[in-house]
Amino acid sequence: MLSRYVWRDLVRNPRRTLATMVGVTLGVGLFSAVLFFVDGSSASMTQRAVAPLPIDMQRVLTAPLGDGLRLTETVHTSGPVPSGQSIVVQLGLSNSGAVPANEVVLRSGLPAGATYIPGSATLDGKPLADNGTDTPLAAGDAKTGVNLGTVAPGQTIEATYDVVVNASITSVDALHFQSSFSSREVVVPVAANAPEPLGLHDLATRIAALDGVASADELSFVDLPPGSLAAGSASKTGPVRLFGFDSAYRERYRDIHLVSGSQVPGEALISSEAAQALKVGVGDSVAVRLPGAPQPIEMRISGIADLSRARALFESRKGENLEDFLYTRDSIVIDPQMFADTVVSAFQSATTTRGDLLKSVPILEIDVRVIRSRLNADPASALAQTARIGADVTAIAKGQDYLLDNISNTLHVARDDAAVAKRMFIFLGIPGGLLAAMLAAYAGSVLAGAQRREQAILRIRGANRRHLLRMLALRTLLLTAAGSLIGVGIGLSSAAVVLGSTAMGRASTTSLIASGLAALTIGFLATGGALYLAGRRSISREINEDRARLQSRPPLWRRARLDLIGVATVSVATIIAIRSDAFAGTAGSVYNGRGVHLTLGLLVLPLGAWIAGGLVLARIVAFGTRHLRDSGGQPFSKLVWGLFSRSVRRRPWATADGMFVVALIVGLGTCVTSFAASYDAAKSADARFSLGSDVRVTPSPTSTRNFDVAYSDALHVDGIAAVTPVVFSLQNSVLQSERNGDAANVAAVDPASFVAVAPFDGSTFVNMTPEAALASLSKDRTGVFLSTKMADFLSLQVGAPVQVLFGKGSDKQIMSSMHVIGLFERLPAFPEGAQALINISQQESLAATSPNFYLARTLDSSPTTLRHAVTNLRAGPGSIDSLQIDTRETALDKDQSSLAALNIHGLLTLDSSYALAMGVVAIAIFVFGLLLQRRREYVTMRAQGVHAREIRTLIVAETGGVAITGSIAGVVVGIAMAFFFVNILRPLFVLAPSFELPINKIIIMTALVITATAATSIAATSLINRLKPTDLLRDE
Amino acid sequence: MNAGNGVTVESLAVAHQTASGVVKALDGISFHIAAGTSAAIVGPSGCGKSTLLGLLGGLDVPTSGTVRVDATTISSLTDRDRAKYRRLHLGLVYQADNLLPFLTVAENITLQLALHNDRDGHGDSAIARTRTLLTRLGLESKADQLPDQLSGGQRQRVAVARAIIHRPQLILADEPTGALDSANATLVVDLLLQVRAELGATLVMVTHDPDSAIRLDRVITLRDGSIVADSELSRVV
Repeated sequence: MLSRYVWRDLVRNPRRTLATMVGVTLGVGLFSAVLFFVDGSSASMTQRAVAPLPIDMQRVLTAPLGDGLRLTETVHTSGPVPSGQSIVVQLGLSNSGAVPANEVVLRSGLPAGATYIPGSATLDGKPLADNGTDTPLAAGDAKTGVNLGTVAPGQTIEATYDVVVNASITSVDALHFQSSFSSREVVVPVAANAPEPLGLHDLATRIAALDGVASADELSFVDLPPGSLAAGSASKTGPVRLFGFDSAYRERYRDIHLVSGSQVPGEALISSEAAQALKVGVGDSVAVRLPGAPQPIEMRISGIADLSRARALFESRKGENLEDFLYTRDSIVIDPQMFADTVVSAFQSATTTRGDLLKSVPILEIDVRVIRSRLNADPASALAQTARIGADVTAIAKGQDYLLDNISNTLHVARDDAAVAKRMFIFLGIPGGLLAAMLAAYAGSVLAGAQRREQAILRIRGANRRHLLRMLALRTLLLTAAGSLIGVGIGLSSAAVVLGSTAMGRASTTSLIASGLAALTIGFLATGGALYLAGRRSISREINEDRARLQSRPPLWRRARLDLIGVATVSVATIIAIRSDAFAGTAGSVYNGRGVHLTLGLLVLPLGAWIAGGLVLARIVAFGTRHLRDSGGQPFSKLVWGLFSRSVRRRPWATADGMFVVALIVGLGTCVTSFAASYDAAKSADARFSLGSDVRVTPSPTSTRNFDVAYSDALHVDGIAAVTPVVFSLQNSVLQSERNGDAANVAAVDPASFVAVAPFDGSTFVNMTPEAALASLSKDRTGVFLSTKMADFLSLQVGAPVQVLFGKGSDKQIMSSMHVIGLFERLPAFPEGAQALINISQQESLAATSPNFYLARTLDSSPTTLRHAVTNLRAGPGSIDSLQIDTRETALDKDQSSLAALNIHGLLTLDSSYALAMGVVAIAIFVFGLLLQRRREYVTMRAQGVHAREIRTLIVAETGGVAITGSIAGVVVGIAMAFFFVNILRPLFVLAPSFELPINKIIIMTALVITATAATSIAATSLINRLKPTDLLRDE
Repeated sequence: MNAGNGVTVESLAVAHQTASGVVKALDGISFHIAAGTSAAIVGPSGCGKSTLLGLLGGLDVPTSGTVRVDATTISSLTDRDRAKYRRLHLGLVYQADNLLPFLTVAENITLQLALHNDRDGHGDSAIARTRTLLTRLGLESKADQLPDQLSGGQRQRVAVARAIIHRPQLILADEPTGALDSANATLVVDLLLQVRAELGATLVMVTHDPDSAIRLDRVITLRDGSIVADSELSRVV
């Protein structure tokens, strides 16, 4: 009966039903859209994370020169083993190779079910002293083994020990002894009974056949000392890197450019720099001197290659500077078979004769590329795939070699970032949920007022309070369930519209279902609760409107001053957060394997500022309108003003409540707009800082032109304001103090133009402005600025002398005595890290080094100017010389978190669209609600002779007042919210983001809200003329 | 009695289109109420009494026929002119007091005066006039109170005061005693008759209360949109 009545009530009052449901739908729509958006965006985080990776996986041979050591492990027993029985473990280590194995360590860890019998260990039949009660083969917490020293070719060493089985077992196989060995040559422990190691080619073939692997290519290389490469009488004194890879590898890794000739098996490719230095070309021959080879090896040059950007070849494999691009100018490439036959053999020979005197040994590895199109999913799903591939790669010839799983390591960070993103954007979606609840409550209270008469009639007909409450619960259930379901549907559709259906298709179904359910549940509970409570309050109120007004109590937040308490709490929490540096967070970096860490608890602050700030401003507006004065003349000397001022003065909370809702919506819009502007500015500033300016021009090594400081003038094309030359490469110098010294990345700049081109932030130099610092560098050519870390390492302070070795590794290297003139924290243009900054004229005069690149600043920051300048550079100097041109738009900052890859604009478009829609709905509800509540007043005024135009002006004034005060309050609150968001999300960026306030956009948004109010008000007033005054005036 | 002055209704008809067809709320009625006299409109619920009053007040427009008050044919006025007519010449009292809840008692009354005077020249004299009227109604102490702080009887007296403060030519009252107890009802009818006499205004009152109706000069009985009885015609007859 009741349910039928409720159903008919909903169906027969479609406008009322829709008005109540639209708030629920929009709020849940926004909340779910944000969740779906994050799901859909996760795939872009995967793409961003893996994009800079030159090599997905590297299976590196542990013993590149071949290794004759083998370990066997035998346990002498069979069948069931009762508890307490002792068994013997026998280990045999033999060297079947041609060279000695040095510093061999033998380990044998005990399984959990066995206990070592003290004093039972022997080595070659002789007792081996225990280490306390531990076995000497796995002593202490570190399970340290026994150092056997050198194992000569052909030598075999035997070790045994006894253990007691702690509990009965069916077979000794249940015990897993962990025996292994390592040596100076084989640093990664090799398990006992490991299969024979595979050769590089066999390994590549088997890895390439694995599911999910796109390619597996052999790469060998070795670093040779200066003077190893020569052509006739000309010889290079710089270090040389000799590679072994085939043309398939070159085609796979596209940053290896063949400048001339071709890659021919049995012949060599030579780097452009080496070819220029040796003055050789295709068809000429070079000689490579190898350790262990009696004569230099002659190689015919089949091609010249530009390797200056070949990250797969030059990114460091060493842990302390992993993935640093350590370029060797003088490089030569031969095919893998030739490398194995000549280079590896020579080093094997050298090892035999020189042992540990050999400084560098060849590195042999398989470079694996996974099928990246299969990783078109969120980072967690992609990680699961790459981890499986990694496990498959490791399983081939298990127990040997090691795998550098770069892609899984990267995706691990991206997965953590994605989790942070989800939490972060849930917070950004919460305003949507709250607005939904607010709109539902607002619509509920307005419409509950409209139902007062119906409820009174129902009561007269015998319905009691319980009946009314049950009907309310049923109505709420139906409205919120339908509204939430439609909202989730709209949320999914809008996210798909913004992101594209392809991106949504990449999201995992589980994740989408979880997001949908979360939005449905939260939306249902929030809006349902709000609707129910508003209706319940109405039912509990006195039926008589006037008496109800007298008896009504202010809401809890006003009585308990929760708004003031909220603002005070947010203020105190902010002060504490600032003092404890909680906004700093931890910046993430895919390269550094570190996920971004945000103090997500702080996201409560903007939400608190939003709601509590809005309520406080509503209180202020209520206070202000209560004290609104008449125009100063007689009562109603200005009719509309007289009515307006009295209406708002004596009903201040009606205005304030409407204002609060508008303020929340405008606040969200302002926050979103300001945050978007700040986010864009921060990303742009990060890109400029990393690149060094708007444009970076890097001369190609293939060019025969001499690129000097004066070449800056040639780059001064239309659209470019200033150009500066920079000398910089990794580990290009050595810094030496009395206490310490190390290779360092030294940047040499022209102080006058560098300061005009590079984007400095205020904290670049310690206790100096950038202008003052570069002025002092200009005046003092022997002055050097050190990074604070390098200064610590060298134990140097400002004024102290420092020795700088310029032109490290070249025939021009020279030591110079300089002195420290200042310190810096971090310089623009050197994301790899610069440890010292010097004057380029000093560099030139000592080492005559050419600039490595030029930085150029455009005339203004507009993208059009940038494109114009790049076009002119390509058409001008770029058409003559081979130039690599990078811009702030193409720069990929290695320090940026993968979170920076999120399509924030899309998210903000969603937020803005929903905020605008909700704003219009809120205003419409407010205006039509006002009309509903006050229709008798307006009709009375008409009956008294007030013109329709005057009534319309009165309505527009009241709603306009609400819209204007709400917009102003919203802008204030929105700015505070955005300020919090920008600071909380600071760790996403390299530089501390500045707070941007796009005044124009905020004005447009506010104008839209006010226009919508005016339009709705005018539409609403036209309804007054359609009301039947006689009926309304007669109603009691 | 001047036949040209007062309220003249000629062939007045109001029809509404409903789902079940055309419903005639008033079916071509005609009558004249002389200026300065009073008339009660009686009849069962739904007979068209309030519709008639709405037409006399210029709140509604007829489907056909004319309503003339003194020399003004209000049924042919524009909406704006009808509003002007109401503010200058009309006093309205309903069963519901219809006081504006955000204005004080005095302001509710002064507003009508301000509308009548087109917001000019009301000044201190207007306030004094309001105070005098309130004193006469025994509501001087309630002048600065809001309507919801008054009892029902007090509010209805304020509504009467609002209807007469601008000395209208025509006072229309739609069951003004319907929500009052008998004592207050008598008080309100007394007040209306007294004021009519003082102002020389025409009073038309819709009522269900026979005791109130017989106190007026004339009783017009409606049924189904037509006049079925008119005490003046009876007298004439």
